[in-house]
Amino acid sequence: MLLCHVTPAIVLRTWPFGESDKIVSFLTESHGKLTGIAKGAKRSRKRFVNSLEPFSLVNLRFQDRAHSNLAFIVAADLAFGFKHLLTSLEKISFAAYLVEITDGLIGEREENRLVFRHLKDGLTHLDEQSTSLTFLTSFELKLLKLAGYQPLLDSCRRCGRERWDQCQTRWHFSPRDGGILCEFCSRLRKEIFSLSTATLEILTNLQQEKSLPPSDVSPPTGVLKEIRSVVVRFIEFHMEREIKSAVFLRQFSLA
Amino acid sequence: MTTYPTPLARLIQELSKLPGIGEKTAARLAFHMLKGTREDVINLADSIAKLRQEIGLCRQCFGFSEVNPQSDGETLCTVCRNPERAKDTICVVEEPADLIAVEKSQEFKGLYHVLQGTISPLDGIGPDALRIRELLDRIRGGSVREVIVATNPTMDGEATALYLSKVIKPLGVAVTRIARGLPMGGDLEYIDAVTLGKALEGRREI
Ligand SMILES: [Zn+2]
Ligand SMILES: [Zn+2]
Repeated sequence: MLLCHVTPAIVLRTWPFGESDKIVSFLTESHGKLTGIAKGAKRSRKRFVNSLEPFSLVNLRFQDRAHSNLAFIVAADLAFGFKHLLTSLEKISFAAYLVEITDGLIGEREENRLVFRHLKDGLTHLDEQSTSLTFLTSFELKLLKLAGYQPLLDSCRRCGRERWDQCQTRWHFSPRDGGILCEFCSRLRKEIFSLSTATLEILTNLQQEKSLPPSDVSPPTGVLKEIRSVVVRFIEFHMEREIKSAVFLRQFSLA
Repeated sequence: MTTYPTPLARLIQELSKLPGIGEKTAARLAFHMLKGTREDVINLADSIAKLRQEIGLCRQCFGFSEVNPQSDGETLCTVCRNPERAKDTICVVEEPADLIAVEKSQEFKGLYHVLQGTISPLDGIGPDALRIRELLDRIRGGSVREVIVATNPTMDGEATALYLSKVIKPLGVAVTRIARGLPMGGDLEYIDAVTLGKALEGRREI
C-alpha cells in the first residue's frame, strides 16, 4: 500500500484532463505546492463535491505515484469555501491575483507553512472584509518576504551606501538587484524605478508590518500606486512571466 | 505499434487521439471496422469527412448548426429558426455542448447564446475574447426581457455571470442566474437533466 498523506490545502488552479479527470494544483500546509490528478472529478459528484475550484480550502488526501510528478488525489473534502469571494468581480479579481502570485513565487514541493498561512489569511480577509490597496500591498510585501525575495531597502545594493546618507535625495529600485540603488549606481541599470524619499519611507514601514494592517490606516492612494508598480514588476521578475490576473484587478477594482 | 500493417497502424494511431480512447481500445475499434461490411465503413468515413463541412456555428446564437450550401455558410440553427421558441428570453451558456445539455432538460423554451468560453482571471481571458458584444447587440435589437446566465458553477463561470449582469442590467433587461444548488466545479454537460431542469426553474435575479 502506498502511503496516504493528509494535509490542509488551498486549491490554486484546475485544468480539465481528458473526458472525466482534472489536474489540480494545491498549496498545501505540509508539502508545499503540489499538483495531482483527480480521477473522475469532472463527473463524480461524491468524491470531490464542491471542493475542486480555486480558493477552496480542503482537507486533501493524496498518494505519490511512482514515475510521475503528479500525485494521485484520493479525496479533497471541503473545509471552507470562502463563499463571499465569488460575489463580486472585484473580490474574484483580488482573490485570483493573490492565488496567482503565491503560485508563481513558490516552487513545487517546497514546504512553507508560513506562505500557506499567509494565503489562507489573505483569502479570509477578502472573504470577510472590503478590498483595499493597503491590504493588497501588504499582502504582496509579506509574500515576497516569506518566499525569500524581500526587497532590500537599507543601502545601495551595489556600493553599500547607506540610505540615511543625507546627500542622497533620490533612490531607485532595481528588480534585478532585489533592492535599491543610489543615484550613481542606478545609471548602470536599464530597468529602474525612481522612488521619492517619502515613498521609500512608506514602503519600508509597510514591509516591517508584522500582520495585515487594518484598512482604515492607509497611506495616500498615489503613493500606494507608485509602490505597487514597483512591487508588481518585482514579483513578475521572479515569476519570470506576466501576472495574468493583474489586468482584471485593474479593470474591476481600484488597484 | 510496429507489428501492425501500416494502414491499420495509421488508423489505430488516429483513433487513439480521440478523448477517452487508449491504444488498446483503438485497436479493438480498428479490428471491428476491418471485420464489418464495406458499406458500414464507408458510411462511417463519409460522415466523419462531411462533419466539418456541414456543421458550422449559428450566426445568431453561435451554437452548432447545419451549414446551408446556398448561403455562403451563413446559417441559423434549428432553435433560432423555430417560430415556437420564445424570443424574449435568452439562455447564455459557455459551449455548444452546454446548449445541448439545457435542451435535454426540456425546461427551456426560449433562445440561446453560446459565449464560446468564459472570462478567466487566472488564464488572462477577458470579456473581449467571448461573444459578448454579439449578445449585447441581440439585446439592443429589441424584444429580450430576460437573460438567464447558465455558465458552469465554477470560479470562471461566476466571474462571467457577474460581468454579464454588470453590462446587461443597464439595458433594462432582467439578468438571472441558474440556481446555486449545482455542485461547485461541475460542468453543465455532465449534470443530469433533472437537476439541470430544477436549477433553471429555481433561477434568481443577479
Ligand atoms: Zn551605489
Ligand atoms: Zn442559433
